[in-house]
Amino acid sequence: MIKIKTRIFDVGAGIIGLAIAAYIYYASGSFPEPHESQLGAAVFPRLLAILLILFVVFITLDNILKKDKTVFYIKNEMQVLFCFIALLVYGSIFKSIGFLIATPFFIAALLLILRLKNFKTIVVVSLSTTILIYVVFKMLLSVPLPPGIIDSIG
Amino acid sequence: MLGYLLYGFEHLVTSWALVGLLAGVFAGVIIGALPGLTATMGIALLIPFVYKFTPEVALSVMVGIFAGGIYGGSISAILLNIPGTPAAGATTLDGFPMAQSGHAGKAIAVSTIASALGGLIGALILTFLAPQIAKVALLFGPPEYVLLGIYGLTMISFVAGKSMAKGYFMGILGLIIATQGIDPISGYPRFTFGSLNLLNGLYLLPVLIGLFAVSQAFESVELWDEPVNLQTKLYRVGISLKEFKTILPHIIKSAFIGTFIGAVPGTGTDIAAFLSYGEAKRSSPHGEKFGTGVIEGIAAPESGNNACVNGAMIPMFTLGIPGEAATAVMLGGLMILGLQPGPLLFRDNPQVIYTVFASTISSNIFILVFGLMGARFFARILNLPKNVITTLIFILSIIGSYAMRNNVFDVAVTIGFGFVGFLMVKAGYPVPPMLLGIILGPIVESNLGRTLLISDGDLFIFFKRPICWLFIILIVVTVGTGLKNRMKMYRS
Repeated sequence: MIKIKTRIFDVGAGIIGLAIAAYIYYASGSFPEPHESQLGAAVFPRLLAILLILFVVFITLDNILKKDKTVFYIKNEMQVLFCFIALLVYGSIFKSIGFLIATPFFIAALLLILRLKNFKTIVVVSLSTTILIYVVFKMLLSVPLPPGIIDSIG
Repeated sequence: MLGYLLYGFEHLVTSWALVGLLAGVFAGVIIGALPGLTATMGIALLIPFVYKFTPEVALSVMVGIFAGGIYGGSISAILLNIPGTPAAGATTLDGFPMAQSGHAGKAIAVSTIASALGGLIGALILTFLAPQIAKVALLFGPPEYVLLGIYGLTMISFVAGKSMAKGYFMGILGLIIATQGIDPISGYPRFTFGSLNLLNGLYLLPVLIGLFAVSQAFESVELWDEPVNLQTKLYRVGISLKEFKTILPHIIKSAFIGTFIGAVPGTGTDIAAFLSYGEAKRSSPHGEKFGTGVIEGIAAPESGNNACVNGAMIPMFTLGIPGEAATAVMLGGLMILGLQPGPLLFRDNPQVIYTVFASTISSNIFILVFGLMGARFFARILNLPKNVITTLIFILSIIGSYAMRNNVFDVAVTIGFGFVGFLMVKAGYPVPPMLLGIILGPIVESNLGRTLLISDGDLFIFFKRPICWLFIILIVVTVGTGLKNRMKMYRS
């Protein structure tokens, strides 16, 4: 379990907020000047950048005044992290490899991460879920699922 | 109007909309019953799979999931003491004690009847009130739309959760995200980092799935080892006529409370349920017994929250303003379906809107049938292994975000927003304001541009139109009330 001080997280979020605001100001400098009575491409984003800075300041002041000592926890952080990595890998390869091949491995990986230990169950759940999704979405709902290498073999 | 409504019913039964509604209610009850899954997530997850259908069918599915999901939450509230959705929080107070005393079947029957009747009353109010509001809204010009959009954004005060500042921080981030892509007035590409994928800005659907489905799936991963223990068995699902007479007045009163609460943007089904419960307790001759397992304590919140579902659709359909998370996602769904939410929907697509109204009315019949006949089946679903459900949500999220444009970039957006959304929620930064910002940002900016063009750059135009004054007052009152509530919270 990871313990994170809300104050520290707020500082991090605030820094990212300020960086975004600074980027908006920098990037909008190159936007074309508006004609008369036109809003202009830079006005609205700059207004938002100012508001963002104001709320970063407000959150920071609130933390200082309240002497915020609250914390929050992320339980099972390794499982969360591994799931995130598995999602990234699956998301990046499922188009090239194909839904039918990538998905059983992804399901098996997630079930292993979530500590399902029975090998038989993992295999059955992985294959049956993949086939079920394929039948429902590809065949019944005509959702385009990437064929991947199966297509090139065919 | 009755002619349109009859057409709506005719279209509902003669098209696939009825099947869509049936499937939506069924899926919604399952999603709502499973703790950790909400109606909002269900709608977000299913949009990519229904967008190819006609708008009537797609919207009927969404309506079904919303209504079914809010009802389904009561099943786990009664059987597990865990509200399946926040809306069922008040139902645990009397539902679980009743189940513990061996009357789980009766508790589910009360919840089912109250949800269906409350939802029906709410749906009828929606059907007859919404077109009148839309008529007024048709008078809106660009200045009114600017203020309407800003009014919608002030709803962040109420959906922000613990910290209003964090809510507005997220809302502004949403507004900034919405500025990406080609500027609606000048046509200049903004903040695209040279990427073709960002030329039209971030696509709404992957963001929506990331924020509302993937982030919640990460939360399920975090809590995967928390035990769920279903001990109660269902014997007889039903109530006597005498019991029905006891709960009927509470159902009717709560339905009106719920619809009104839903129609006020910024509230939600959970608030409607607790207010209905409070009012039932206050007005009951045996209020002191509430909390020990009385049927009125289940009927009132369940009627209130399902009526609220319909009330929440009033501002969404008539003004294009989402009052809370589920309608914000539905609004996103409407836009993805190519419909412009707001009064023009009534003028340009009456056949769609009245089929949807017919769906909202009919959804309650399905709730009644599923609830009374399928209670044992839904109770069994609570035993499904959490890790398999979580895995399924991840996969549906990925293929859902990919399906609309066959673009891996959208998948990356979904995963990114899902993970960041999960962390932000943990730290007290709510995600619904971000969606409000993304949806309302373009409305405010493009109409502000048009307003300046028609007024020759004169910003005082906002003070020269009567409807604008109405919105200015509403904005001041909303922000003022939000601040007042926060000050109260701060002091206590």
